[in-house]
Amino acid sequence: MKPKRQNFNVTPAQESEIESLRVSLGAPNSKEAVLQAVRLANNLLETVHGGGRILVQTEEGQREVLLSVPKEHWTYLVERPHPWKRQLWIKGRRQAVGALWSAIVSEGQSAEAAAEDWDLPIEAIREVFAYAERHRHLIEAEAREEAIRGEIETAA
Amino acid sequence: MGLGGASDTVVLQAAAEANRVLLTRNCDDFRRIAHTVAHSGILLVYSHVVVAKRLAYADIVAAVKVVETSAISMSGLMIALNDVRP
Repeated sequence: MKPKRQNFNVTPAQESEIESLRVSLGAPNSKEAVLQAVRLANNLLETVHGGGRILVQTEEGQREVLLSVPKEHWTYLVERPHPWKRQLWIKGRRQAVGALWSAIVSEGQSAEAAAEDWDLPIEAIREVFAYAERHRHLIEAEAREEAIRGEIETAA
Repeated sequence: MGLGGASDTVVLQAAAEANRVLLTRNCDDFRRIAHTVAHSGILLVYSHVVVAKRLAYADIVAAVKVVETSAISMSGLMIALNDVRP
């Protein structure tokens, strides 16, 4: 694949930061240093987006590395106040993403079939898939919580 | 019934007034408000983590049929269809 040229200006301070990073990483040049840092950042962000935590072990004990995770942008999914659910909801409907995703998966539907079945734009269904993929741990944890709450109430 | 986006209480009240049993995937929210409305019954479909316990449309229809043929009075009752086996 033919490489594309990327140009951007940096201040002397930023240049110094990149050089310091290059030395720390033992990279042969600035480009390699930046690429290594990008891969590392992507790996860490993927972990955090998937509901994981990053911990480092030091002589003083274990501490969590807090990453500044950029806010996700969704067009068809919205936050909604709920006593305990933290997953997003379908905009304009009282339906959590997990419930819709589970229904689509249970039915083995394609995005096109789900869009028609649920009377939603196909882009909304694609967002449901993307969100469910990224926040699978949260969705599964909340499905378990919902089932447990149901059992507790039934027993009471 | 044209209630898309209406609150859970409004939906449950409308179902009760029409003497209909409500079928929902929004289990916890309807469980919480169920005692506030004299409803005609609620059928719950849980989004189960265990794939084998997830209900496809055909499973839901079969489970509803079981409830229907059992002839129990649904008034004020809540039943999780995931636990109903044809």
